[in-house]
Amino acid sequence: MQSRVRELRLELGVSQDKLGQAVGVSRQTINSLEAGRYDPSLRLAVSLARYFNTSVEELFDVDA
Amino acid sequence: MPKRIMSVANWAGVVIFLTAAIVFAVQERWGLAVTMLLGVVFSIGLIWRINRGKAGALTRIISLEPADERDRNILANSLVVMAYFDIFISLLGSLIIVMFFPSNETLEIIAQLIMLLLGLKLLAFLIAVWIYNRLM
Repeated sequence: MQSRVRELRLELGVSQDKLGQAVGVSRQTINSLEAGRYDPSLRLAVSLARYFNTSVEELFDVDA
Repeated sequence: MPKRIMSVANWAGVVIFLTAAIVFAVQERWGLAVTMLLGVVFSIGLIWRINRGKAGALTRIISLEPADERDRNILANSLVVMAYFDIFISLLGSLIIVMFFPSNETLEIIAQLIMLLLGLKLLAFLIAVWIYNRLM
């Protein structure tokens, strides 16, 4: 699944490690999410959307 | 990531290894007792490294210490693959023994043991399905 996580993270100037700590996952999970290899749980998707102050639909493209 | 000490599986492993070490020591089988103790020391050392955040995903997962949902998914999927392989290899091994070594009593006992263990694993599977079916 495609996401805007990498784009928004770089806009904020946050490392993968810092973002992972903020939402309670490992750096590898953030890396996999950004690469489109891993589909997050609903809980993680909501946590990320809240972190970036956006909606889940804006953050993840489920149709891609 | 949330702070953990040790997973239930590893607690159980450490207790089993320590118990085995004590039993072997009482039986004066020192080689086995030392091997069990080394297993405990190695496990605790590995988990200490994981808790300090110095281990990668692969180490966390194969040590049964998943740190987040991706680790847990990978661990669960990998265990499913192992379970399929276990069922396949147990059935195949038992059938080969029964078909090609019909007069070998030792192998027959081994085949029966494999089938008994497979039966216990399938029972655990049925219980797990029943519980998850009620929970989800």
